[in-house]
Amino acid sequence: MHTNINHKTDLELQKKYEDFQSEAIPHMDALYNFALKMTNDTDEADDLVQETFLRAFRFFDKFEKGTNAKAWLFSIMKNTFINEYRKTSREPNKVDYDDIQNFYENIKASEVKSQHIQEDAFSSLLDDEVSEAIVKLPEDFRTVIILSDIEGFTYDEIADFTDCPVGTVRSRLHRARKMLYSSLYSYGKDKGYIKEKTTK
Amino acid sequence: MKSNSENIFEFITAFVDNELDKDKVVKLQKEIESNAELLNEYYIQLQMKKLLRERFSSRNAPKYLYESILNKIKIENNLAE
Repeated sequence: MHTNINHKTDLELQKKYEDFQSEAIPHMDALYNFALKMTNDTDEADDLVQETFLRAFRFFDKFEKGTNAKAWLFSIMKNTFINEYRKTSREPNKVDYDDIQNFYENIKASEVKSQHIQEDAFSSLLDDEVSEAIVKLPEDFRTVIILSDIEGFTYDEIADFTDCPVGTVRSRLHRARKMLYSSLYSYGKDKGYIKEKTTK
Repeated sequence: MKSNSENIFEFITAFVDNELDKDKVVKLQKEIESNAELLNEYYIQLQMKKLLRERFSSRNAPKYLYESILNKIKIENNLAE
């Protein structure tokens, strides 16, 4: 009879594997999406998802059945990203928040407004161009914007697995969207996707 | 401590995300409608949320990744094929 380090019987292990398949595996798409946006690299996203699920299986006995498996998996992925992935991976060039903030504040109100009227102001941007802008956001900001806007988590859920108060989540999300807007706006203008309106 | 103006901008984010109490929603909605700066902030927050949701919300993990992970779990735990 096989035994593993936890001295589980084959039958117990098989049951654990089946429970894991029904509780955890269905969330792989959401985790893959998150990993892809955090790393902007399919190989690195594959590694991150794989390591997350292998760890999750090891600790699956500690998971309380019937609770939020998706949030539990995201916590594991976040820790994996911080502890393993980030140590070995080259950090992308980060956008300095102060620069972005200054840039944003320097956009004239009339200029910004004219873009809003054009609802499709960012429609010419390619997915890869938007992804590149996301990955350049500072990590804490990138995390909340992905969890909120791509994964659809509530502030309470994001607060839970980023270990910070809801007010911090709201604040980071607010700033993350402004940083992203400024970055895309600047990029779109350089590429000629966004035409500046001359103010009279 | 944050100033009121910083707070109101952050509450616009919560407004866009449907994370505000009902009474605050009504109050903030009126303020947004009557203030160009708040309206701009609202559009920026909404536009970024919409852009990300529409572009990236439904990418599936590749099939090989599912297979690879399940296989590795089986191997690591001496589970039968």
